[in-house]
Amino acid sequence: MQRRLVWVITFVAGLFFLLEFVLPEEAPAWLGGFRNPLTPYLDGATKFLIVVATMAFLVGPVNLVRQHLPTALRRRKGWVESVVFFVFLAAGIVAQAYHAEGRTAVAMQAALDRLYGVLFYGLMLGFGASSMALLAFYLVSAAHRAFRVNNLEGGLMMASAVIILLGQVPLGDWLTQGLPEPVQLPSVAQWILTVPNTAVQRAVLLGACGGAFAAAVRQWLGVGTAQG
Amino acid sequence: MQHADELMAILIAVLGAAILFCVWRAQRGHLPYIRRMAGVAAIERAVERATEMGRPIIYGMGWTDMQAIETHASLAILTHVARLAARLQTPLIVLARPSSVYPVVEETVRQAYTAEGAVDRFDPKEQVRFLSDDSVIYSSGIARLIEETHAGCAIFFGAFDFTSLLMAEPGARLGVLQIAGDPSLFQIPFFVCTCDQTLMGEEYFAAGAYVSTDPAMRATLLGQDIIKAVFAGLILLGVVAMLLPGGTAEWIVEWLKHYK
Repeated sequence: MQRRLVWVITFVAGLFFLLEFVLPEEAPAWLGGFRNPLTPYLDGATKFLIVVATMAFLVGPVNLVRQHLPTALRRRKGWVESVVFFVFLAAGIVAQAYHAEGRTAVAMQAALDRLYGVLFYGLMLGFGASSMALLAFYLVSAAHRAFRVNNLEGGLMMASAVIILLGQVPLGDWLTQGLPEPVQLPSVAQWILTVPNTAVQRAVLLGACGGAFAAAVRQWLGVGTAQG
Repeated sequence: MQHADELMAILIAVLGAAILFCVWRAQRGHLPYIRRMAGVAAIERAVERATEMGRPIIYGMGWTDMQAIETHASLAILTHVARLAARLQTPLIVLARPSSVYPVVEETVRQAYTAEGAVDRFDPKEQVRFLSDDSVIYSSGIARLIEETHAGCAIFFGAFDFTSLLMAEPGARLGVLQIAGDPSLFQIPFFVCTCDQTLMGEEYFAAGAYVSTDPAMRATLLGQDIIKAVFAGLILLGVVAMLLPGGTAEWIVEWLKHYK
């Protein structure tokens, strides 16, 4: 019964959004010129989705607390990190809640602003930037693994990468300047980027669009699920 | 508000009808041939490998919320992985993101364990975790978890952003068997470099139906191919119209350009 109810709600909601999108905003005169009867309700339906998402918002942080609380209380392995988590959770809530001006006394406001600055601009952005800096090293490591020529595909990828790299820099231009223009490295690199590369990208995109559409229909009609 | 124009409305009707036709045929016993998908087969091998090694499976969701079809496709694969893990009694840790997806992920894994008669082994606090809504923290957290738990395999399935390499590279260096699926093209090169198998584009959406045992669900894969055939037909129509002499089919070219 509960599953059937879920399926009915999913179907009706899907039908609403589908019809709202497919029906024109204003029908042509030969069809009576009526206005889309569902459009006025779209805003309300969208707000409802936001409300539902907001209701689920706290569940994630609650899981974090459930993870760290027993570890901190029972001093299990990694309890220091759990304590640090709670300290920063409390500091973050206080700093964010009172960050807006005029909520507290001036002296307190300055201290809270400083705390906010330290937490978000000093620590969080710093940690984020440090992690992102690792990407440069990871890129080199991943590229080294990818460019091992151990089969035909690897060879093709290596060859096209070399052409693209050389085609983007003056060295590539200099190396092939004596050749006819269509076979100079910059031209070949441009051709690889705009013809085979674009064709493959569009093919994958079209396939993904079809796949997303089929998955959406499956989900909407409950095909293959307990509801369907 | 944005509304469909005539061609889009016709396309939605035709493509929807194609899928419904395939479901209808499947319900009457006409099952289409479905080619083997290496990426999906690799998921099963990866779970079995983790079982043999006695190490956990790490499953990372993408960044999209419940309104995105990418999330639903990921949940379909998660159901499959969770059922395999429950059947083989292999520890499974799922990282949910964003927080609004968390309760759905927890319920999905619970239902999978229930379906395998192993709901008593499901520990939501340990097995479904939330790290952060922030991309960098989430990806670093997954990488750390893979290293700390010496994961038997890692599966990244969803729409990922610029931190995909941050998430997958540490596992690749440790030799962890990794499988990734992402519908967009931008992160695929990084996953190809770091993962043993990568599902991209339509494969990502087809995987959920492929692993299903329901004939109607599997039949929708034929619907996907019909959709592709329609797109290919439109491309062919454009090419032929362009090649016709004297601009006799110029209106077709202009019409297709309008809807490009």
